[in-house]
Amino acid sequence: MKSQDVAIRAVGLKKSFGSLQALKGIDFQVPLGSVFCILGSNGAGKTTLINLLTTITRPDSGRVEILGLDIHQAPILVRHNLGIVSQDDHFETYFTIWENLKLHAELHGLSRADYEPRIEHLLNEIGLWNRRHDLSDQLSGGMRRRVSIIRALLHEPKVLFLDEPTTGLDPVARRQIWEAIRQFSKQATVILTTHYMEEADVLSDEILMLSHGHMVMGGTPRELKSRMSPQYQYEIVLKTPDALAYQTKIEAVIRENQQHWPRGELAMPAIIKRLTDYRLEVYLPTPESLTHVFQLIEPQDLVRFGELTSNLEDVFVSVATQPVDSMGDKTL
Amino acid sequence: MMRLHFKRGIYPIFKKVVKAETDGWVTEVLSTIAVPVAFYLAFGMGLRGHIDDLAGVPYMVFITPGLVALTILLEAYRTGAWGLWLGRWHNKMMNEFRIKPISTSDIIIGEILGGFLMALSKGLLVALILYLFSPYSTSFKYIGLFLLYMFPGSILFTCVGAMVGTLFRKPDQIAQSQAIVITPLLYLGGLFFPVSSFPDWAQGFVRWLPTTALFDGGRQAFLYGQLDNGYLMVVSVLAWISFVLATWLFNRQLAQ
Repeated sequence: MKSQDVAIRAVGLKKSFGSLQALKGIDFQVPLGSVFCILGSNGAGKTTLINLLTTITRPDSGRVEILGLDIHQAPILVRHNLGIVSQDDHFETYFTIWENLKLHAELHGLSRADYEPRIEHLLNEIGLWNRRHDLSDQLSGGMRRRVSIIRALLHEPKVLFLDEPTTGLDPVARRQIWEAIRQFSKQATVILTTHYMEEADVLSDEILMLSHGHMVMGGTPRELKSRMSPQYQYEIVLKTPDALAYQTKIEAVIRENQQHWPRGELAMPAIIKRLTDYRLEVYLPTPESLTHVFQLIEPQDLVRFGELTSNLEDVFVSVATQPVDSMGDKTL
Repeated sequence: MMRLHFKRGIYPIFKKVVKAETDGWVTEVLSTIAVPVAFYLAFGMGLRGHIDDLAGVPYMVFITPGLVALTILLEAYRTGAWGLWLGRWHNKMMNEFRIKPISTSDIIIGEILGGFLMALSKGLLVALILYLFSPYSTSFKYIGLFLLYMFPGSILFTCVGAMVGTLFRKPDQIAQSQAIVITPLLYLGGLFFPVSSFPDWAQGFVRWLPTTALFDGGRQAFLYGQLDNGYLMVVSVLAWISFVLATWLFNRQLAQ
């Protein structure tokens, strides 16, 4: 990737708190204009990583460049380009929504002529212009979240960090936030953390998975799902109610041929699940077994023969429950 | 030393403190004047006739400069402590400020300047109210000399409050620190009596207290136009040290 196409480059990031190693050497790059998701269970190191990337804390070793700037040599310059929506919505309780937004615009050095029309435009976009004189605690959780997001957008940042932006929101509010993220991702790079796998799957271009301070997996959602499939998984949908007959035939052919496949004795057993009289799922241990299965099936009986993939939640659970010893660091 | 940003850092934070302190100004004014006016009525008027003139002036005049200084001191401490505590531990706005393109020094300096100005303004308001009751007139020159003590005094106690608000997570710890540190300082500083009433050995000690500088030094300036360089040095040096300490502590705490 050319350096001008990289929004964030992290190299060898390590951070400890006393004896706790929160990050154990993380390397990754975020392409410019992408939605990049950081996933990990509680304590995986997500918040530490976000704090490092947003200049709040310093790494013990390693370095981060955002838009080509070293964040610890030029933190103030970098922060001009960052918009950050933290996990909790923090507002000055004595201030109205308008006053809160104005304060943050001033802290970014915007002049009144710049920020007033922009605040008005953004409040109108999220449908809260009429609530601008309300205090923050008079708004619902979803409204506060939306105000937090536009607060992070006031100065038109080039990189937006969203730390669990939809936690605690109802499905309608969540979809609204997704739409806002999609809109913003057309103009800039988005770094997202979330506990919702559906959200990561729908929104992300690339995902980085952390576990116990290691980067254990990275790639597009599709890559991660296919990489995690332990077996060759297929779905067979039939025109006629012959699923039982096919199940018996497939089991027999696998029994008969398994010993001839390379490492066949060591392979996982094949699993044939009959879901209905018309539908089967087959989990095959080796690619050779697929050839045998495919030869059994009459094309005229088929409605569909398709590959099944794991969902992101399977991937996440698999990563999160992996023993610490088995983790090797990956690079993205 | 981090670079400071006045226009986009210190000034917006300063304005925030002023706005928070003037929000609901009627309650704010009433709560500010309640204690000094009550002291004034109770001691100044209630004891009139029972206490001879002190330092050549009636007792109610004697305590007036100290009550103004007391207001500044308490308000400075309160604004510093609660302002920082709210921002750091309650509404957690410090977490928002520190990701803006400003330094942590900008944040703490804005907070201290806001607390300093509000405390000084409230002290002057109390001075005006007490002056209306007082059978005494002073000159602008004397007021100017009095303010020479009040400026560093207000900074000193805002910084002490800011350190308490930065360090302590629980609100009752702020009240405890006030009871343990501030209240004894108030009563030892010669607010209600001349420090010359202390035995000689104790006078040597109390002269180094910042409250003595504010109450006794402030009284000498306000009533007689006299400037005690020793007092002025004590309060100014302590104000400077507390400012450096408060800034260092805040930067250090936020870096962690």
